[in-house]
Amino acid sequence: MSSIEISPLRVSERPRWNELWTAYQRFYGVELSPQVADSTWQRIHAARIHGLGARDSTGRLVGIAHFLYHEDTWSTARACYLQDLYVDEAVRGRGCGRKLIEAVSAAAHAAGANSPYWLTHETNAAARRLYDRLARNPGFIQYTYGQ
Amino acid sequence: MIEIRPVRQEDFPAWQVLWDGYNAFYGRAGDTRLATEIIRMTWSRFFDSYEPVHALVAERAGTLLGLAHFIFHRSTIHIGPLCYLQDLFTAQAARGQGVGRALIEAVYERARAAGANRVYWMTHETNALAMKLYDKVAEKSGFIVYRHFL
Repeated sequence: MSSIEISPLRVSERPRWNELWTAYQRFYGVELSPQVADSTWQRIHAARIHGLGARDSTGRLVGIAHFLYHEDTWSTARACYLQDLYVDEAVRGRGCGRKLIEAVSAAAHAAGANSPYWLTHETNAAARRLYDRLARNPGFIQYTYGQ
Repeated sequence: MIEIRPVRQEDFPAWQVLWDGYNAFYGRAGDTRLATEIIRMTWSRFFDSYEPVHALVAERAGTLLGLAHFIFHRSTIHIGPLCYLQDLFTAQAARGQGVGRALIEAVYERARAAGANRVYWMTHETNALAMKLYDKVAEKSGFIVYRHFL
């Protein structure tokens, strides 16, 4: 587990990505349609959305991060929204999440975008222990309308 | 009668007063004022049909009372776009007259027309006044924002 390798998601990883993507949805109590998964996977491979995978020493996919860029009225550089981060429960606490976040950040800077931001549920204490070490929580909360 | 409409080129001076007021609320004033190049770029995006960045203003009797800026972007959990209401501001003198609500509802309408099922925004957890309105027109999702250091 000491050697985690991070690079873009590969087309051949679709079945294992499905497992992690489903587990992530289960964590948030949602079930997205297969059409959404197909669309997102396709967009990742068309570089409309970006996907990174973390692999253990055997090459097995154990974590995923999805991010995208969008315009920002407060900056000439684009914002980088890290929309999804998920690490297989079996490998939690071994630095995989941190490495994924750092890799997203490196990609954002290489692309000339600002540092990534992300949202997490306020009750997600385990994730927040990690986030509080590598990110600022400036006190903004989200409101939503619609689905 | 308050009219909500897309911003126009000739609104620039009045828009800038509102935009400065909004930015000052978030501490971007004086030495920390937004750079002129950012203001110019954001303004120009409102008029560039290739850019998913939009601005509405609230007007009454020829005076601009408020602004709303919103952006469409992709989402991993939707097929259609998300609508991010990034900025919302009502001039101090026009508060409490439904300007903010009218702007938000106009953004909802435009989001629907663009195929976006969800509109979202962020506000500071201490912004109690704004939250009185937001609690009526939207839901707190329970999600909070983190930003990576560097």
